[in-house]
Amino acid sequence: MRTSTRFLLALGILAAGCQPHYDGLRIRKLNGTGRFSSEGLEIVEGQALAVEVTALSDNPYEDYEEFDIIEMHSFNEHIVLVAPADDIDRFVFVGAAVGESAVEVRINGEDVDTITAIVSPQGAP
Amino acid sequence: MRPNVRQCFEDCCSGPTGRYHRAVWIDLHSWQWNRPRARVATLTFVAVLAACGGSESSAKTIGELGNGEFVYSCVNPNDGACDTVGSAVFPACVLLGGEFEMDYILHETDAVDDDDFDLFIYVESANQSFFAGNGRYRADRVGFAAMLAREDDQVVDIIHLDIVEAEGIQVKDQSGLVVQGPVEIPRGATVTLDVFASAFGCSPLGGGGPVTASSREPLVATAQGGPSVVIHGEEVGATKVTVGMAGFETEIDVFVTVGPARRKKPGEDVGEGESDESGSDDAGSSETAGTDETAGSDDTTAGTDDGTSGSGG
Repeated sequence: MRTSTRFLLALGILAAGCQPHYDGLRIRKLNGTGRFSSEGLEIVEGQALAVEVTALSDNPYEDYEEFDIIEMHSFNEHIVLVAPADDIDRFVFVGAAVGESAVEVRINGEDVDTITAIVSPQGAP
Repeated sequence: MRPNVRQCFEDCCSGPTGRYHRAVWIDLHSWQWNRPRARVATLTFVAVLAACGGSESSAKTIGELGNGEFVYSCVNPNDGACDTVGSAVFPACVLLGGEFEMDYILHETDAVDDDDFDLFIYVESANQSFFAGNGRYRADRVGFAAMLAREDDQVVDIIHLDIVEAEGIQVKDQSGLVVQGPVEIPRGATVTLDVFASAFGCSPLGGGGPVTASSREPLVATAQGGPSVVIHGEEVGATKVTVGMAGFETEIDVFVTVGPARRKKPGEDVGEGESDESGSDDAGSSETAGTDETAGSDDTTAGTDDGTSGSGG
């Protein structure tokens, strides 16, 4: 292997080591109804849930910073609506109709996760 | 120096005029106060304030995200949120089938990404099967549902409201007192009554809705439903008026007492009753007052105690 190739490879490994590596989201409920669990988002139709999210990194040397932009997009807005809230790391989830869909998580424009979203009918146990 | 128009405007005139509020605020915000256009802005502001009249038909509450206030406005006279005289109270629940308007006043401008100059915040129902409409809403389904304050694709605030079915109704007169006994109406006069729905744990119960009314003896008194109940005294006598709302009905005893016999003509010294609610406390006075023509004394309160007592002898 040529020296320049080795150098580039080493540089790449170092660069990768300096970046956070997605390991999930920490979600703090701000207000509203619904909840996040290991199954994903559970919300009741017609109701809204406001949360604050923080991206977790499993790279012990690099965490996500404030300038890392988190976006969340619904696969089907007719079932669950996801909208940015009053701050860059806050989102509102709305149960638009009974059903199951998913929410795509992007960080800095890159797809990193998909969260299952279940909208249950009112009055259901 | 620019006056603090915004705060004043919010205090003085919120609710149904929220659209004006935004327009005036945006205009004033982007103008220099010492420029001639500011005078036009001031005139506009004053005109809108004048158009607002009282603000007792709307009530505010802080949104669940705390960035501003949701403004609830009554559209029906029998909306429990506007039941109290002089001030409205944000409803704890909304009656199934009830209608209302909802607006939003933003306080935390940092909560929106957009700059203030083209700020347009609107309220949207989270699910149209619960709150149907846009700006003016109708509660279509029992449950617990959210309304969203939005700016473009952002949700700035949320509020959840209970939609409930009525568990009873109450009839009140125009001074807000519950009608418990018989209603006395001078012949020829009209009384307007409001019917309010009630539900356990929901005070006040917002929304209101249409009221039905029918008279057992329309020759004695006619009754008309609608936003309120309007009872007109036709002929001396007694009848029962049935009023209904939200699936409930109640009966009111109505006594039509002696009232103004005829209109006062110019130059004629005939008393004319103007009151639409009798102050008489004795329903039996109708029997003693067959001589309604004699009510034409100098006294102009025919149909009341004063007018009838003198004619009995």
